[in-house]
Amino acid sequence: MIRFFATRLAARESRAGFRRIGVFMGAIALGVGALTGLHGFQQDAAEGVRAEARELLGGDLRIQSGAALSDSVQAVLGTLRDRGFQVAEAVSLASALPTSSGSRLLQLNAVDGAYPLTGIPESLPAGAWQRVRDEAAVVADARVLEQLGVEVGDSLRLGQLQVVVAGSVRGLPVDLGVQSIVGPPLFLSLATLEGSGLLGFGSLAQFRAFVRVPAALDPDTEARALRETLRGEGVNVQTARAEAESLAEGFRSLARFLGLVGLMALLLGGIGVASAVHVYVRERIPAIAVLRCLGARQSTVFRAYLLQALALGALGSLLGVLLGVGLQFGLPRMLAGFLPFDPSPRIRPLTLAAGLAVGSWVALLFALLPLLRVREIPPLAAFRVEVEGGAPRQVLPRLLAGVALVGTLFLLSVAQVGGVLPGIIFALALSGVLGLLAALSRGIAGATRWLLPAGAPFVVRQGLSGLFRPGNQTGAVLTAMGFGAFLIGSLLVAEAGLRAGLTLDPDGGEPSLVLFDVQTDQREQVEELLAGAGAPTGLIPVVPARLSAVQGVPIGTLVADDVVPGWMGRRVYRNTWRADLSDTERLVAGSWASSGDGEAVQAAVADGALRVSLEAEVAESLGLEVGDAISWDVQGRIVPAVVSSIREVNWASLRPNFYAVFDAGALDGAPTTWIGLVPGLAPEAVGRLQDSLRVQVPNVSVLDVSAVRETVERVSGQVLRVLRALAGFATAGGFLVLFAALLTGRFRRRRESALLKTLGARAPTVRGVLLVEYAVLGGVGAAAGLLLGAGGGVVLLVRLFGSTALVPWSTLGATWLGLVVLTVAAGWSVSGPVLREPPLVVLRDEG
Amino acid sequence: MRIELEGVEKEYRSGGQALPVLQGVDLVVEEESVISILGPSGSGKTTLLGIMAGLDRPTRGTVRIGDTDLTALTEDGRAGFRAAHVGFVFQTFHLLPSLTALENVQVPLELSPEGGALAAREIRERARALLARVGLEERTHHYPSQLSGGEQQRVALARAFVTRPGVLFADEPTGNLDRETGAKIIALLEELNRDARTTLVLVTHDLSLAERTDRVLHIEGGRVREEVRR
Repeated sequence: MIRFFATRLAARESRAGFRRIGVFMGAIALGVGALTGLHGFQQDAAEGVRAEARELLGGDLRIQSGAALSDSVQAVLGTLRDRGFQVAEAVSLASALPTSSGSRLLQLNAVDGAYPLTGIPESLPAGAWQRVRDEAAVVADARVLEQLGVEVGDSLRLGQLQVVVAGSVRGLPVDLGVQSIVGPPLFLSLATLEGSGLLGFGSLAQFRAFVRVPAALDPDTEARALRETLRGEGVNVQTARAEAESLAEGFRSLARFLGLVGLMALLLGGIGVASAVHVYVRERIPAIAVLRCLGARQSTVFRAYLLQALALGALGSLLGVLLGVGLQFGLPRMLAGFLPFDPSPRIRPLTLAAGLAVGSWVALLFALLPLLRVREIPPLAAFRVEVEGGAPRQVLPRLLAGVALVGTLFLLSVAQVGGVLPGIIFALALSGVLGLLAALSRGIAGATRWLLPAGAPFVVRQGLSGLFRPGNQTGAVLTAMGFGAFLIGSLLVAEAGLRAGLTLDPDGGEPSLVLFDVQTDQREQVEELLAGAGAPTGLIPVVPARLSAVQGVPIGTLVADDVVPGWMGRRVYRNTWRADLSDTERLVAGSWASSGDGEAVQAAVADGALRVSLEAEVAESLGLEVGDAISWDVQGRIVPAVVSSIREVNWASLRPNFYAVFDAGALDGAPTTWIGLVPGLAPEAVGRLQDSLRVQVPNVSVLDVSAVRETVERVSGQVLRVLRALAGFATAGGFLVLFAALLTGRFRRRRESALLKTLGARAPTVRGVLLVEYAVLGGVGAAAGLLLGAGGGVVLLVRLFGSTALVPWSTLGATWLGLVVLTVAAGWSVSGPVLREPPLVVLRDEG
Repeated sequence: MRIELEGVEKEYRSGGQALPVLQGVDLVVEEESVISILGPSGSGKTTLLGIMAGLDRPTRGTVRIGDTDLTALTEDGRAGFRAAHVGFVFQTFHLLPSLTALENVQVPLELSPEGGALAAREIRERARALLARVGLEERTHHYPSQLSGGEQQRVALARAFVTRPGVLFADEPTGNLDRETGAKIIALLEELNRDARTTLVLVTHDLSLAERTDRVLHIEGGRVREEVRR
């Protein structure tokens, strides 16, 4: 019988413990849930991407260029067709389409008859897809038609053409780059696009050829051969496999980042467990001492309590795994429309088992430190309270448990972050945050106590002294509360920062409308229209050009030698000229005005080079400084230039910014399109102006900036929603710990309140004392957490995203108030009922 | 079982200084006898009881119960000895709150070497029989919080005698009870003790209770100053 005594005792004792510690297990469950759910989601995403790699790319290979595919590229495609490869061509561009409520930024995908090479288009009504090939008709995902407010049979204005909406379509390859941002595209034929006039000179189009490689050949080998053949053609050759891997990596990074929040939730659960076990062991001292008197060995009693902790950890983790499955299946829904593929959630026993193991292990480790106390409780503690303590003797076991705990934290961080050094940095940062929170909470609480004037009202003094009541778990409550608040604080700052980057302030010069593709011969007409609408504004010239040479070395050579990144060598730069520096730019080197030019610039200008101001990062990537030579290929004409200045540009501004700016009039006569920035107009004026532009200059793309903002906000909103859901997991864990810790302190408060009543305190006084205690607890924890979180958010924004940080003080203040009210409410719900008991009943109960 | 203390001293350290609690205690308690220890608060009564029962080690001296030198045993060794031979009754009953009355009585049996040889059903039956003996056959599945003070102490008596210990230590067994209930508990304790022929060491403030025992020890200032043989 004695062999199983520990097990039986554990089972019997758990009757008292389960109810109380059970709440803390909820915290572990939330952490495990967040971790396993995200891990499962990431695996689903990676599998989904790989399974649909070819469908996602639209073929085995994709050849892409920012300019129309040249004759030599077309010749290569012809050879491929002859060799039995399937080839389809498409042109895609973003365009603002009119809707009933303004305009909407959409991707247009113009395709040839061979498209698509993968997937089977399912159109509704049947035959709609065929109509796209045969006539001036468009099809799109049903959601897009809904957003545009059109139905099958309606007509839509596409540039100079009126096209028919033939129906909705599904099952076509997606464009990962654009679709993630602006949503699914509108499909039309290449001929229709041609007729719309939208593909005018300077339009922001991508020209693509999709290639299906015969089964007997290897796509990677073919891709390598094509890259070699097409070298210098300014095209990019991508394989489906590489695209899928890069996308899967993207999701892995996202899941890793989100998983860190899950890890924090798990650690919070661990703190909860440690705090619960500490209090539980304290409460069980008499029972443990009696067991020791009755002859139970230290190890037997310790085993009994360890078994309880193990069982609770396993139970909490099991619950967490179930929560995780819910999260794994819920995330794809939360990200609906953002994911370009179907992640098809699937239960993986190994992932669930890992979640169960990690959760149980973390719970056990956190429980172990306070549990070791069980081994130090002497039997004499049954006779008198003062011997209950005894000096801690389990130094080595404590040390080992501490090492295991720290080691686990580091291992989990490394596994979650996916790198040793970043993992260690994260673990250190996390430990730092917890340490700082504990120190800050203690500091603020201590200061509150010591700075309190001696003459403060009794209610305040008594309430504050409650914070320092032995066994009150003030530290655990403050840390739990603070950690939850920390997550909320950092999220609020991050969100405010992201939103600030998108805020359009008419007084700050942000435009309401942006006009693209105004041709030189339409310039006067457009300027007149703008003046008529009450927005007289000049147009900005755009001169598309490619890099030709840097410091006299041809760009092709620099790319081949890996001196310059390939994309920089191939891309079409949209340059401009103007007289003044804009207010979104800052000069960091050289002189804007020619009067300040140095000798090198003056000499180059004397040799016929044009002065050009480069954006700082481009200059750095090209290794250029003021006075260096750079030449441009403007529609076949080589234009030599000299770097006269270097600018930093605020790209977050929604105004057109440029990598290269020439002197006013320097490129006069070069093939140019024009951009119009229409400053703040009333919404109805915007609508009227859009109508006039649509009728009179149909090829001009009109972008309603508020529509862009709405789109960006929709996408970032989805990511923020996921972040919030995860932060919700963590804060819910924090709140559970807080609630349970308050529950633990209830009996001490009950006794104190009864004593106060016995000594003559009236009910309002007793209530006031508790109110002060809970309010200070909530106020200090929330303030410490929010401040630290806001600081973390600022660091994250500034250092990681290079963005400007904005602390939303009023939101933080409101959140602080909310958290205080929540703490007081939680405290009240826990302690309120016992306060109504007559003091005699309480004192008799408590002995 | 016979208890023998020889030159027992106990010191606690407080603020770096040795604080003597027991000084030079030499004492023999004969097998099956009943003794009481009397003394004011802080005189060292509980310390003496703890050392006699092997709950704590003396700073100096030896303690023997039967043939076993408790001072030579490890902590776990002493726990094993208690499980086999020692019973306790406490002033505040100290029933395990999460266990029913029956389970509380079973615990010492489950811990003892004797219980190791018994089947679960036998252990249960023995515990049930003892609960019946103390008049609580109807309360076996009640938790301590559902029992009155007198009932809790009766459960504690059943728990103390269930292993038929050689020695029983009782620390103010009536201290938390009213006079009438206390008298009933003492009567029950004497009856059970007579039947089990246990050596009984009773710590009390109650002079009338002490006078009913075979011997009375007075302890003051850590010294057993007076021994009155009746």
